[in-house]
Amino acid sequence: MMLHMDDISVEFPGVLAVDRVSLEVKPGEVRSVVGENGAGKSTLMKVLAGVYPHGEYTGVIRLDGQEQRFSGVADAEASGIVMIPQEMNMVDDRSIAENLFLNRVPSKRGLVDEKEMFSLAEQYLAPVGIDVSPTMLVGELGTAQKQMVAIASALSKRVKVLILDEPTATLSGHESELLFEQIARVSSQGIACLYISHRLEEVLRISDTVTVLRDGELVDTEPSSGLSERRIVEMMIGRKMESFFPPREVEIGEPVFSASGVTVPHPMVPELNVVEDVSFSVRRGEILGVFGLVGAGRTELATALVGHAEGGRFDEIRIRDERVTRIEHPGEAFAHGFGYLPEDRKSMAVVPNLDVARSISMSSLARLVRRGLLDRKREYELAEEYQEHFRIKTRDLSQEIINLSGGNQQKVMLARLMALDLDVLILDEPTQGVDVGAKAEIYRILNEAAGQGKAVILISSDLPEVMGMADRVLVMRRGRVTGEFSAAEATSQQILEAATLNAPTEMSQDVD
Amino acid sequence: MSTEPLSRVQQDARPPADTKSRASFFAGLRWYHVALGLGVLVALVFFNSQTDGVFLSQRNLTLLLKQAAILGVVSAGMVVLIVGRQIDLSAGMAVYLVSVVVAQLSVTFGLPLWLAVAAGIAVGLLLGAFQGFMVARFAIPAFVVTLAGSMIFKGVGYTWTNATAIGPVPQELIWFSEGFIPPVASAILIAAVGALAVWSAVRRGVQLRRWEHREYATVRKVAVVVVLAGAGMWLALGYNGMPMAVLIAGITVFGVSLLLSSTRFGRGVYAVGGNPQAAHLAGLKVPRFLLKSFVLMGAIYGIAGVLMTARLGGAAPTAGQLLELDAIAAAVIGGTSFAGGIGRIPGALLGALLLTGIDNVMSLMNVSSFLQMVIKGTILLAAVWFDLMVRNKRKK
Repeated sequence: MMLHMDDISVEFPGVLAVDRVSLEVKPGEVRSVVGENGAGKSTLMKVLAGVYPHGEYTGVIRLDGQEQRFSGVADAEASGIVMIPQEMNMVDDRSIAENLFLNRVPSKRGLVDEKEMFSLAEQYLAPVGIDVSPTMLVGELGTAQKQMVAIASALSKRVKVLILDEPTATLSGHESELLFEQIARVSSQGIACLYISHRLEEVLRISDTVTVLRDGELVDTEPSSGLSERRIVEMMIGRKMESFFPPREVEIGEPVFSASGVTVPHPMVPELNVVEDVSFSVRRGEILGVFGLVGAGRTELATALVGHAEGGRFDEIRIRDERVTRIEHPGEAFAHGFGYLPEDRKSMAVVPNLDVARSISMSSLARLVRRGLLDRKREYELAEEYQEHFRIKTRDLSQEIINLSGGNQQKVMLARLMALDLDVLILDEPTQGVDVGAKAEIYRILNEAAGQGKAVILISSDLPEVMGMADRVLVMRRGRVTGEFSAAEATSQQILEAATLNAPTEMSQDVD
Repeated sequence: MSTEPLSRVQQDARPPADTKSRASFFAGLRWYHVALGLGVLVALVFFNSQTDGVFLSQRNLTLLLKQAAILGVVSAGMVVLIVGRQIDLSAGMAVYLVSVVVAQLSVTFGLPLWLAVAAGIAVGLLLGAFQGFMVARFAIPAFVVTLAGSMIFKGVGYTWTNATAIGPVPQELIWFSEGFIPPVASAILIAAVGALAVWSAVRRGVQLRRWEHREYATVRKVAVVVVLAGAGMWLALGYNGMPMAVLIAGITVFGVSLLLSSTRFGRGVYAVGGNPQAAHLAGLKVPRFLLKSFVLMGAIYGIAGVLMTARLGGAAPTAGQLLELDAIAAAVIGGTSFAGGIGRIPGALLGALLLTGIDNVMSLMNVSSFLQMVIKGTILLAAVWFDLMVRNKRKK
């Protein structure tokens, strides 16, 4: 079962998204495809999966020497190529079994054969190691379990080539491990796996070969055994990397923000708290990393501070010399001098259809108003300042924000927060889904903010990022702070241990 | 599971829009724009000849504008609501109820006219505020609140009037809709407003040229203003002048338009409609914007209700019926999206003119009013289909 992609090109108006790329994947091979955002990896995979049908690309796809011309996703799946997209297409309000079969629900005389459906579902679910009833609603599953269902679904379609698009982006470390086990198992059955990821450490660990794309072109394909993370990044950005985490000399000043007794109840289980009596403080010029696996309660901790967590509460917040006992709305937090950058950019931060200038000014309109009317000129000037400073790549400021790459969208979101000139910035996964170049820029921006005497709270599940950026690391697990380290002295081993503590099996339960 | 269509447009890979398209006056003009323009032109000429030149006469066009005034005002409010992901099914009946208040107070109770009008507008505001409060405070979907509102308002009006017509209201009130500003005064007014519009467009273009690179957009805007002002003057001088209804509607719509495009309130409406969650996290108080939108709509009930009373000379039990649906249709034809965050008032005005124009021309041609509904429905569908087609084309 040999897969060839020869000279594949995809052209969007004005841009060659994929430029004569050729790939060759062997049965049972785990192949990672890496590149910055916009390098063409997703586009290439979508060609393979039939999302861009024959005619929308040039070049030839062959399976075992046979040329394939997919007319659509269903056609590609019929030939054994299945893609699990980042945002899985599942119907949350239907059972696992129904999602597993969607358009192939077993039926008898025109009616759904539920017994057959559930027993078949169990058969497919068992090997991927999720121990839940197929009658359960998909909406009750966590991301990790949904992925397992997606893999089970792919296996049920007699998959030959499995494409995974950034599957670990929203998984905790332990969940990722389970996924990797499944990938290993699937590939041992002779199924080729194409794995798209930004996480190079994973890429090196799980794949046999790595293909690097840059600006739509193939840079190289090499066995992973001969590669290092640094080398891959160099191939991705096309130049030698100096230091990923820029060094920083900052005077750490007096404490500027502290919170005590932060507690957030579980949205469904009232007696359970997702954040349990957490207290911490930050100083001026300090970057405080908050590390933990997914489900550790970091996001809830942050959202409780700005009044966005359902039922969240705290004893008090001290900001500068002010004492705050209640925040009911993110806008109030801004007024006190601290603010939150949401984790999920697409659903919680970006307002589509707004142009770049309006996206930046959104939170600070009050100071752009003159006699009741907005001063468009001042708005542009404000936006331009950040465009230059943050190096936001956009055609111009009246470009709609959804046309920007993920990294540039994120810079716009940062600009929106920074334009408020806050003393304390709470940033939730600010580099998630952001390409390497933009990542470096964001790190520079954070360092600069700290340099101006702001306090930065950096929530991240990217351990190297936390260790590289933070002065001090707070580790959370199951809603509590389980460790506090000076970043200079701690080892990743110590931090990870604090995040996972004793029982790895315990983790799988508290995630959802 | 992957049989669902995957998102076809990969956002990262989406190319920047063609920068050249701004290089000339006609650039960016596509075949479908030309086709649409030609189609409209052919239709106008065709209808004009079918009606022996009546359709495009200055008299008929003036009356057409007067006819469209109330719909235009309500459509503007509807755009604000739909942009904010809301809807108003009660507009027609709210306008009717306002009309009942005005007519009852001035005819039955003999109150001074200004008091009756003020009370009507106050009631309009109250109706809007009530619905906005239900939506904003209790998070009841606007669809439900305004559906209920529609029933309640109609019922209250019918109960109070026994479903009979109340009138006639004093002549002074009727003048507010049916009166005319003398032709020469109208022409001067139109010229002045036109000049002001040109000046502000140019000023804006010059001020923002550094960021918007849209010199030709300014030129086009000026061209549109000049053509419209010219047409307005031609109409005003060729018949009785500008109808009061058009003047009042024009001022109202301009005000709403300014609110939506150039104030914090308007920006908030776009943000709340585009992504409520993001708006909340960016510090905007979402319920407050919803409440304000409905209060604005309340003011529009008031103005439209007074205009309606003036036009009909009283409160008629059939007044306002289906007005909300026409207004929604006008907004949608004008490019407002139910997904929220997208929509502009000038588009809705075009939609309102189109719908009124169809009524007008069909009546002139003696087409039955039942068939008119079929035609209006078809045009609504065709307009949205066309809009979606163009949007998809642009995305690709």
